[in-house]
Amino acid sequence: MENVLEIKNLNYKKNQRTILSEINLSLKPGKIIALLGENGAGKTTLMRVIAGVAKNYRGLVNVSGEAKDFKRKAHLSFTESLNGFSGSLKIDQVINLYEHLYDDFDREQFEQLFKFMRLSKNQRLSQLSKGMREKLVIALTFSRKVDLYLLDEPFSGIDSMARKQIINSLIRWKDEKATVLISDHFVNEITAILDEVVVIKNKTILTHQSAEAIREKNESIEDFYESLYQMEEE
Amino acid sequence: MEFKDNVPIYLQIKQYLYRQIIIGKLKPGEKIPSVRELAVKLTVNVNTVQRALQQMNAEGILYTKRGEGNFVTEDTTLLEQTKQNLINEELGKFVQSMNALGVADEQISSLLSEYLK
Amino acid sequence: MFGRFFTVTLNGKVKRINLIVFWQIISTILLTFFTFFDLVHLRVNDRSVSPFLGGLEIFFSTAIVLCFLLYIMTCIDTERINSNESYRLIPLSDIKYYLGNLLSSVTSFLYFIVIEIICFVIFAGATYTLDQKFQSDVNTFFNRFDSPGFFGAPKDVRAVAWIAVNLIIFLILLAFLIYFFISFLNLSSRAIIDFLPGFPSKTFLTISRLFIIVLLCWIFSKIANFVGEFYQTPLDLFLTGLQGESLNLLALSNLGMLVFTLLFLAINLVLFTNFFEPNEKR
Repeated sequence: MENVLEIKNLNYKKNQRTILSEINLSLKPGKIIALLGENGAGKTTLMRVIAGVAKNYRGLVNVSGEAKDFKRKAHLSFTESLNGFSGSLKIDQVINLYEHLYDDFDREQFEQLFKFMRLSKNQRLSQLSKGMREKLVIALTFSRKVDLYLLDEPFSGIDSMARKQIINSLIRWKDEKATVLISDHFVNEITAILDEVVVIKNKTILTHQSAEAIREKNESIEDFYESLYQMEEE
Repeated sequence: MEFKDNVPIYLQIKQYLYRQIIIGKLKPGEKIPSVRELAVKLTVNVNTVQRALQQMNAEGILYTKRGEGNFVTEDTTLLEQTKQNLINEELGKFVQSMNALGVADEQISSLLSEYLK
Repeated sequence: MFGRFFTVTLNGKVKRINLIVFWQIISTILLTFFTFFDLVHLRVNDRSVSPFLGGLEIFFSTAIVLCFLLYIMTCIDTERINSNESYRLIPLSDIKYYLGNLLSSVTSFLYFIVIEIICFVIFAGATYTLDQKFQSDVNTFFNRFDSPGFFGAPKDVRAVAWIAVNLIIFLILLAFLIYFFISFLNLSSRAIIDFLPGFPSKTFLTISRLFIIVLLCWIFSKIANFVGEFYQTPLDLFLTGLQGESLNLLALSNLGMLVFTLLFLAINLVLFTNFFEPNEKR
């Protein structure tokens, strides 16, 4: 089966500093994958490169067989916190914008997700709490029918109820063939739903393993991840 | 439902379903919930549930009706055997922890009957 | 996709214009009222012009000021959309994105001008029907055109039309050129900042960016001086007085402007597609 994401020899520099170096990564369809790494390890930058908004990288990035930036964008849905939209917009205005801008936006699925997340449409963007905003972002991101979903730290700073709702909606609404890449610096909140784990450290990908394979060795994913980060410090 | 994080989840899902069948929550011949329903209920990955069900199908404890889903076997000997396996497994764990406390195998049964009084 | 992006950005821009025009009309009416109506004695003030004509004058002058303000606002807004990550994620090539954004800005600006003209005509029409003096003044003004020989020789008429057309083209090109220059400063300073070694603080970064912009402006003023040696802008021609030879030069000079404008557009497109990343969140 064709890989949803294929990255070969990716290098990215900004301000004369290497942020990503020699990244190689292939993701298969239908998987949920965690992208783990400390803050500043390059997770967000990697996602921005994949999403086609970070420029001037060297190497090959392919999403569903498309290498060109703007063609990749049609095959992926990237969570960014809607910062481009004015805070005075009402939620239903944001929804209408999304529906208008993306032809793969599924209104019906959105309404289901929206109801599930217990959001209301009358509020303005700037009035939302962090958890509410993240839930809205996830609902919008998942309502696009694409091959690859990039969730950038969706659980940072939100309460456990909202987290559970997001995780449940992921299980409930993820298309069988769609792949989800979730970045996080804290792993134990999502381990049960993972197929694979990718650890990024020192600007490159340290390991890429199946979650169950790690558990077969009687090791929890949290311990596995922490041991990788402790190696260096000793 | 909480899972241990250092044991493969598909094994834990199997354990969970075995128990459901043995205690009669899922009856012989009954349709079990769909893969996605189970995944949502247990908050686990759909692929992992799939893997557990596939293995249980191979073992014969479940069977698939095309287009309808998975059903619990009506083979009573197999169900009995499964129950026995589970009991043996638990007993094994019990004995092991007793041994770890320095209780010899010969003492276990007398201690147990004493306790159960 | 291009069309969707165009309409979405246009809607936002038009909404703001509607708001501006709405407040312009309200404030014109209020201003006229307070200027011409004596609140103490509850009567219309005695002035040389009628309240209607006065209102028309106020509207006209605010229209001119707003036109400049809106132009600057539109330039800034267009650049803001260029660096907007939420929009940059839509599956649209960078060239189409830049042009779509530009086109919706131009369209919204034209919309503003049309709205202003319509409002002016309505105000003027009201003044014409209600203000007797204004009506007779307008009538005598237009009657002058009826007298034979007013327009002079056909040759002169053609010359005036020629100048008018070139003046309009010049203004349009100038508007584009200024915007492209602003956009160029934005794009190139960002590209340079992203290339230079890291900055310790945000303030330092902002100052460095301003410094780069000033530096770029200085370089371009030198280039402009150099080019000015053998290129006369239409403005030079308008200022030195237009006769015979220079009339023909006018079109050529406008053509030169067009070349510069397109040159900047091309540079901006290259910068935008290859170097310009949208703002990162947080």
